[in-house]
Amino acid sequence: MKAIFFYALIPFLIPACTTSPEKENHLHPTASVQTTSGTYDSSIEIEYNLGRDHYRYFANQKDQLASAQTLLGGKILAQGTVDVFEYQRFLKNAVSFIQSSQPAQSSSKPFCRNAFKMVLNTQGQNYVLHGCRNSNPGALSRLIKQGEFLLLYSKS
Amino acid sequence: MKKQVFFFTLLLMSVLFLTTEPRSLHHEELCQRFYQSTCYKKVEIQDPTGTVRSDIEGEKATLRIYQEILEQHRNWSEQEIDEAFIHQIYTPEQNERIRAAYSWVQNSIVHFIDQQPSSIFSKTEKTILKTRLQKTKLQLPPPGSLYMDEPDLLTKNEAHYQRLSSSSEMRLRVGGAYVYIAKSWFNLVATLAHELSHSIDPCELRIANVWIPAYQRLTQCFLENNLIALHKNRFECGSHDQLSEVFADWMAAQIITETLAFYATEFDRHQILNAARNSVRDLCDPEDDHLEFDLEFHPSPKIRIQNIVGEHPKLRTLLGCSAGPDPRSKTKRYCMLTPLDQPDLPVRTK
Repeated sequence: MKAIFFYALIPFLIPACTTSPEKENHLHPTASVQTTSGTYDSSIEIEYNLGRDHYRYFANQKDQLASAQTLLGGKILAQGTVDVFEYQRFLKNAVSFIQSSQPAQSSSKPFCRNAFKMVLNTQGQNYVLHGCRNSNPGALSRLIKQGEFLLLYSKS
Repeated sequence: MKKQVFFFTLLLMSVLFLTTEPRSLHHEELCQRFYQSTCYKKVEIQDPTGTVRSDIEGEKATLRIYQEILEQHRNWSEQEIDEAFIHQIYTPEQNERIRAAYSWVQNSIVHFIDQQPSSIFSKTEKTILKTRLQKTKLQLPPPGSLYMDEPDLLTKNEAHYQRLSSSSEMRLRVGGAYVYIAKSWFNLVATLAHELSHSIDPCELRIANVWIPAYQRLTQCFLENNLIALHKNRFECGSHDQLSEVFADWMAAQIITETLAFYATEFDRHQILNAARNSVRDLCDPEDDHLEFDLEFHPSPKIRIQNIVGEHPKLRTLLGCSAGPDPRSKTKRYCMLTPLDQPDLPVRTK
């Protein structure tokens, strides 16, 4: 039932597989994550499809504590607290990824088989990116791997 | 006291019912309920070559392996860790096994195409299809650099076909979690057959500007038999369309059937039945029905397992089911490649 609800939402979540930021806000990878008093609360969420499977990676920092979890089809594969410094590095890479993702030409692809959605929250602002795994070969995959490593490093 | 005994007996019976395979099913009923018998949750199916484990088990296991490497070698670079992981997962034996299965599948699909009469595939069409199949390369690490552009695949329970738009290169990759848990040869054959079939699916050919009339008739049959879901905003070979996945499942069904027919002299009927079930066991609904997975491009597990694979006429014969169509099936007939002027096959009556 949950799955039906989720897939009913997909057309609204991923209206087209173009790689276009939802907001026009400009992100500055170095300036946006630090203040003189410390770090802002922030979060990164990546939802993606690979084959028939649905994945979700989520990492966040709140009050100087960072944690992450990775899920397959709504089930937790791994979760735990993560190193704040490493989290910050991951956040910067996520910001760079959003910045470097160019909006696709409307006629370039009629559909996307392996779609993803990324939501980045920093400084109280949401940045949403809809895209295709293949549109920037390797970029999303590397980011996901980095996120998973962040979790594994912290657990070990 | 009597009440307590009654409830205890009832409880015991329920537990037994839930934890044992439905062996008491009449064989014909088993034929008609191929999906249920394949996806029966509690029992691991053992075919002569192995078993099939769930996606989540494979991914958890590979993450644990990564973590063990990290714990033992904290000063290693990410590349060194990847190489150590690959060394453990993509062993020469495993890779050899996958390459052998891939070669088997490639030859089987080529053979299937060659067998078709000219009224189905012209000589040119056969050449196009066979060339695409042979051009699709299986990529397995090591070296780790092979998956440098897709490093997260190392922990994923996925095998997938890709065509690079930049170079038109066609390749098939297998995720580490799948390599780690793929024990059943028949599941490996079915998985690779499905993926390799994407290299010649109607949507891939459309992108290459190739139109094959026999494919159009096959697509029509898929639609008439409700194998492709008619989503409201379906766009053929585009969003909300299951054509390429149904085609890949259908072609995989042909290859599974031929593979099982090959082994039918070596294995007994029960072993063949288990091999057939294991070939598609990973397509079952997740254990507690809470896992979310794609239904935009993929048909439901029941359609894939029961209607596309389980109702293949030759498979039914191999399994000792009645050769004729299952009268309780939702589909009108099993879709096959047909020549243009062939009259419609008799439609099933309910």
